[in-house]
Amino acid sequence: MNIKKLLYESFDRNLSKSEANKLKNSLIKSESLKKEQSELSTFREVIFQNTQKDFSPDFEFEVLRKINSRTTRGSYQDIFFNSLNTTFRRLAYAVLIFIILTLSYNFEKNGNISFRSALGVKQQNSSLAEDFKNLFSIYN
Amino acid sequence: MLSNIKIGFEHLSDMDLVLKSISGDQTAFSIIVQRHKSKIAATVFGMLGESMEAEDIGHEVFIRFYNSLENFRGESSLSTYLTRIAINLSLNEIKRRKRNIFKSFINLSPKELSSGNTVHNFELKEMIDKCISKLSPKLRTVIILRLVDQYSTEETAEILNLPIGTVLSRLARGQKLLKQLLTPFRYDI
Repeated sequence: MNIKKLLYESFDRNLSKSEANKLKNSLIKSESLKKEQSELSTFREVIFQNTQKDFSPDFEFEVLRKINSRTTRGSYQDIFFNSLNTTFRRLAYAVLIFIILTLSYNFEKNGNISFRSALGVKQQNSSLAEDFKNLFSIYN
Repeated sequence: MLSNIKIGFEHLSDMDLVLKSISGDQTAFSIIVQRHKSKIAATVFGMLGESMEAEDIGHEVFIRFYNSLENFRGESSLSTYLTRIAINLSLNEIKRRKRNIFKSFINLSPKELSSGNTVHNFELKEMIDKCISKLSPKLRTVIILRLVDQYSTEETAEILNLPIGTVLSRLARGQKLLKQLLTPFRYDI
């Protein structure tokens, strides 16, 4: 492995015995490599020291305030949609019961549950339709 | 009064605090925030620079966690879990910023950075922030997790769901680039 790569990786993982020896020997031989190791160590320390920041002092308070305000907003929405749901569910049940009763009544009275029968429309026979057709053809 | 209650909670483990938070105990949750906010601050400020959005992202990390407390099974440490949320939200924010044409103050051109004049105008901390923000999100993420948050290489790999070899090579590339960007200001370091 490239010795510079080994140098960088020595900061981030445990080197094997042979890799550690290789790096050690190279550091003894090369003054520039030794300098680079020292620079890299300082560089990492500088980065760490100069990037430590914290949130504003009221951070926890703000987090909890946002959580609670979202929960309250959520519960208002829940109340609205639940009441809407309850109201329309009742209406839907009432309409369903009405349809079932009408169909049952029609079935009982006329012997079928067709749409026309349910609406009380009298069945038209085909001869009546023919009469209308003839009547229109006279005027045309 | 509240601080007295908090003292009673401080010896509890993260998992105990999570369980108490699930049952609706907000004092337990505030201890979690207190315990982990520094690490999350280092992550989001490192990723996004010092800005109002970074503080908001910090809030969002804990709010998201609060809303999905039940999903935390304790398989990874809470710190790792929260950092993963922070990294994802920060990367989303970086994408959003890229989409906006708005050019932030942070985005100095490489010419401005290498002119050497800027060093007189900004503190070293700000300069390091700006140089870190010049790195690509991939390199920036590993630099922040390893050098700023001081996670081990293994933990960094776990948070990012990457092989250790990839983390090591990104770390080396990131450090080389960062050193190059900071070279004009070396006398300050």
